[in-house]
Amino acid sequence: MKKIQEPNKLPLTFKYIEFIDRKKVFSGKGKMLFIQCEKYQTDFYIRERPLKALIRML
Amino acid sequence: MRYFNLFSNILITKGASRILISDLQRNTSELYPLELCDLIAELNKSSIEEVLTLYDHESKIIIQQYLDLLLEEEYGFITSGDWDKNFIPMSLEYHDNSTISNLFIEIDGLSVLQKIKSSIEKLEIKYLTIFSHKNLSYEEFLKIDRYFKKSPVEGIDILSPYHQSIDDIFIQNLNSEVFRIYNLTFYSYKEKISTLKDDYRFTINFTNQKLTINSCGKVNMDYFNTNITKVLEAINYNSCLYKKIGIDLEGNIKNCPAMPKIFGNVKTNSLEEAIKHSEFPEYWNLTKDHIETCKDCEFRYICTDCRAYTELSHKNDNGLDCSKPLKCGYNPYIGEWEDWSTNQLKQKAINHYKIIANK
Amino acid sequence: MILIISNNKETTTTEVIKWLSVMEKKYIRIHEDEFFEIKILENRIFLESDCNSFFLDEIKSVWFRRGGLKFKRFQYNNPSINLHMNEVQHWLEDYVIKTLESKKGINKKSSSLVNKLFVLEKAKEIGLDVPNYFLTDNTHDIELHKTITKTISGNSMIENIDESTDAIMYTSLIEDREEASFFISFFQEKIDKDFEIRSFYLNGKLWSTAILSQNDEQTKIDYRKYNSNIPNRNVGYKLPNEIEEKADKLMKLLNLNCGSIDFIKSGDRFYFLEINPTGQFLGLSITCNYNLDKEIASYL
Repeated sequence: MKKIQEPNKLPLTFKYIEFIDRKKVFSGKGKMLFIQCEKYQTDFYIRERPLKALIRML
Repeated sequence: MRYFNLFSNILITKGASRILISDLQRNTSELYPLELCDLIAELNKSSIEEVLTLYDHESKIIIQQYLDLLLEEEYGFITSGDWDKNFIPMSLEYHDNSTISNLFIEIDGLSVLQKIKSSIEKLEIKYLTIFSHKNLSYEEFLKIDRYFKKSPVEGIDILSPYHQSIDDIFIQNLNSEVFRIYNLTFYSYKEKISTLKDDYRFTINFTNQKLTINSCGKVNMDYFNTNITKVLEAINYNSCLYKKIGIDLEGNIKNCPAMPKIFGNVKTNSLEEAIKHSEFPEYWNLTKDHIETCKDCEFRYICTDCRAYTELSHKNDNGLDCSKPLKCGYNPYIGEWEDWSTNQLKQKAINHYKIIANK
Repeated sequence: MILIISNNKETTTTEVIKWLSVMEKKYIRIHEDEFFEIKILENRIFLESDCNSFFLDEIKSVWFRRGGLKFKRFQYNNPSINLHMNEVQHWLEDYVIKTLESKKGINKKSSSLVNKLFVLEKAKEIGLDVPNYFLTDNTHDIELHKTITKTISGNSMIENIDESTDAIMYTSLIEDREEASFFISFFQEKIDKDFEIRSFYLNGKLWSTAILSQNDEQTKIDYRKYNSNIPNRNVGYKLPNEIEEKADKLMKLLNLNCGSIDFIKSGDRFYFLEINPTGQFLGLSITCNYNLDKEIASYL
């Protein structure tokens, strides 16, 4: 756990803080893919796979 | 007195020979004997102690084992005094925020996609499944992805023939440039299939089979999905055709490219016009509960139906084909899977579709 | 026309917009990096940014989801004139905001950040059960193993505390005494819970979800420590009418018509914990099939 150095006192909640390494959590397959959508006025439209098999050929 | 409470997001689907318990929060489905269904029904009416009195000594042990199982799997919990009525049942309604949710199109060139692009955007179609009869070049894959740049389309699935240029570099480059493509299938692949690196933006399948539109409609466990959205849709609507639009090679607008009824053609009608046709949604409300054999099958809400290829044995009062899917080899009356293609009883229907395909 | 004020990376906003689209309701989505200039066009107040523009009077409802409406301000060379013009521009902007807040809508910027301490006090006044709480800067008199501490900040996450590292402050149990004193911290009686309840409140109606996590050691104190291997059981729940009425009273008192309310159930009692006017609710909405995104779109 990283030691937090501060000249002024911090609340006790900082003793129980948990660190999240973004690189470990958001790597590879876990990464969300964002696409743009003009109609919904966003650059952060999440690209998700369909929730059912739309075709069944194989 | 103790009472057993089943969690509201546990769905029990009763089949002719066994039951399926689906956990709609954790997305799992498990098979269990029919007697468990009866037990759960009894536990819903009486206390645990009262239910136990109904059984003899040996059966009591089994009942206790079932109870332990239900608790271990976290299908429910126990309260004392009464059931906890604050745990309310879950609504099984399905609300969908699309006009048309997916498009399945058969193409032999990209021009038709350009033609229907604006309709796809207007209808806010979320998924496109593109089956190409011709080889697609690298540029063509990119073009398809770019046609729908900034559109409400969430995902694109492309099936096309394998050709020599498709190698690791091809896939790697494609991976770095595409956004919406979530799956690629290359058919008529000549070599032996080896496993690929699997951290691309899309999944890739290679198959030696020469796929055609007629290859579709398969029903097997690989295509089962347990998740609340899919299951609620299947309970309320037809799990394949609801809000689907299909376009065949000739540009005919249909419910599915493999079905016969035509509602227009892309050369002369827009998709928006075609879906206004009064019979366009005729199959949308035909759920598995109204389909022969499927209505007695424990898998009916986690599987995906097919109306394009059926056993052609039953029609309902509205003239809709409500026969079991042709390519399903499961017999819910004995609880066993068989090879559908060699099933004697299906040969008549198989030949019927063969003749249509060869026309 | 519906005005939606949201952050950029807000999928909840996009989901509600999909419903608005299918309901054929017109909307404008404001982003966090948009700056509006206040103009007069055809004798009406007109707001214009690089991406959007609208007449103030054409807005019929406003959804304040997150972020805020930002304005372009002109600077002047003479410091006294600049001071004066800052005030002039401030009043114009304030007029725009107040006008928007007077329209039908979901939440307001002015009430979106709630003071946790103030809320607890009001909850008590209204008659909701609230676990005993206090502020102190030392652990001398604290009952160990029976007291928890949590932040009084609205946000329990510290982004970028270090390079590519974020930090989260979960509610934690006090098990040891601290030698030294610390910055004023919030402490609360630990309630032995049956389970937690998260309710989504919209305009007098409540949709509740029971979050059962007692099986997991990890999530016993704070259900947000998601155990992705065995997630908590989240199921639909109905709070007793008395609690729902009090919650409704509290929200109205705080001038909020939308938000997430957290409770703890212990035996026959329902303890009120906190309100989050802009929390996430879609996950639980899907699990319980509440269709809250549709509810919001219908209301706007």
